[in-house]
Amino acid sequence: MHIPDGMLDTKTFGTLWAGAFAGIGYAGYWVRKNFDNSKIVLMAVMAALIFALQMLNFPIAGGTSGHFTGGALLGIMLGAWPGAIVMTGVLLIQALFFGDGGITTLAANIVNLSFIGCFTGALVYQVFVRISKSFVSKIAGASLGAFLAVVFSAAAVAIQLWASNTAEFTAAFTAMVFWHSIIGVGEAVITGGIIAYLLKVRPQILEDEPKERKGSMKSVVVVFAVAAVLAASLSFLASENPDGLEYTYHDMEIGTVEIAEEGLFPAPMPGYTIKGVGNETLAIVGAGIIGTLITGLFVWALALALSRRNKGQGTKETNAEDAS
Amino acid sequence: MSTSTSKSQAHKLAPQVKILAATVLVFGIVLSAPHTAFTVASIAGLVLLLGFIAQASIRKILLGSLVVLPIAVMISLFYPLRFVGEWQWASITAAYLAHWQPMLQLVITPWLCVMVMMLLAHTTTHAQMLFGLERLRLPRVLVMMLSFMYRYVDVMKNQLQAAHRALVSRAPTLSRRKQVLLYGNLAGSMLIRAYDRGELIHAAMLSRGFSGVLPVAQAPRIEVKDILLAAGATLFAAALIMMQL
Repeated sequence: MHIPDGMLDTKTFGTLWAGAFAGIGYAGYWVRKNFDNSKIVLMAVMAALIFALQMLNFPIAGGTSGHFTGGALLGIMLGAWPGAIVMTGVLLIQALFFGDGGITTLAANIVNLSFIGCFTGALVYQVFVRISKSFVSKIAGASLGAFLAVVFSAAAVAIQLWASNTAEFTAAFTAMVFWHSIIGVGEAVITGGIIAYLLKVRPQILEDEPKERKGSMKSVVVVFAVAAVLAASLSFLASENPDGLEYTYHDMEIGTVEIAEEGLFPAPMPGYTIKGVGNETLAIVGAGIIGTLITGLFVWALALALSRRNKGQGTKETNAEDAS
Repeated sequence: MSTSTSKSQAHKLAPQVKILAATVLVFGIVLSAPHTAFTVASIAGLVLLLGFIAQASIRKILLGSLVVLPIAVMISLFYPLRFVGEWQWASITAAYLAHWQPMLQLVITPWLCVMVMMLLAHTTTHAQMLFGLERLRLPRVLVMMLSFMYRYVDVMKNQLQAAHRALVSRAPTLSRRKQVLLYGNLAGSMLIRAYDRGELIHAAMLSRGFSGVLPVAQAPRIEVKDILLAAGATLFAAALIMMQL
């Protein structure tokens, strides 16, 4: 999944360098602020281990193989920011010593594998742990987080190649996401297996939660902000053409065309724009940001509600046990 | 990880200048997107000539550069699909025939860049590379982590290979499910060992007076030959870009 040199154009790798600089700068600051030297030694040993584990190839279809990437595992075990630093170290070594991943595209690889990989793994795991602290929930969170980390990273690669006019979007996106969905299953099995082993043999490693997890509201806000900025940037790329379902609807002449055009209920932001905003650019950007924030808040509220419900059940069970 | 041990003049150059020169060359190659046989031959010739002067293994540089080809070829196959009108074999074939040159360029550019990086890797020791990165103001946390990582990656690799050998020799006929479980346990036990090892290493380092800053070998001073290298790389990269314009 490492993008080599020459695959991204200047505007794309330039933008990604700016993002990676800011991200690594903050990650370095976070680690210095929250970790002592012993934890940095631990991060280094983990980096060496991830480097070694990346040699573990598992067979996929057609005689090809995938390998463990470890972004989600790092995010779960060390926290998202330290995990991103460790993965960046691995990527740097791979680019400088082995030519695996480019120099101009190093930032893209850092964004895809360090940030998207570690943050997706860590956030999905955290959501599951907040819902329930049971063994099954933790394994499910770790596995789903690892799967999504691989798929999201692959999707990001396809988007970057398309933004650079290197690849046709549908073909690249479909191929990358399909192939990495299979690789993601392997990643999920290995990550879930490692977390299961740790929970059985040395659970205190996972209970020793980094500070970031305790006050994770801040990280959620950061993720929302980054997602909103991305949505604002990418909203210009929203196609005016109908999507697959709309196209099929018109092509097959199913139902009433007016209903398809207007919808049963008036949409608050039709065509990804805001009604009443005269400036088209502003309307598109605003719609992108608002849409992302609404979706994020909805998912957050759902996770919070499930978590509280679960806590309530846990308290009842504890009371029942105490009474008996 | 392989280690460069030769002591040619190229090995004695200041590592930060070498890293910078390699980066400038890579940027020059990417921004110029070489597409004529002359440009490609000049870049490849320059890298191989520098490798020869530096007494680096040309064979290793060439073999190492091939690592990029599978992914570069795969990505290049997506390029002509942008120009396919109707998704029929005839138009797909026509798109590939019409755009074989940009496809070739998408393979050649990363290959040349990796050749430059291989030249750097084969003329710079790991310790020098870390020193160079530190001089280039890479965050201290990252440099420190890379230093430890460099020290322990071989240990980890050997342990993993030993555990893998033991697993294969003792359980050669297990079902896929049991194999997956065993690999999960293997990776988990490696992780616990890594955790414990991290604590032991830190304790050992503290007992030797470690205060958070790693000692570095004698720092090479920037001399005229370093400035010449940096200037040469910049001029060559600028020439490549100018030729493109």
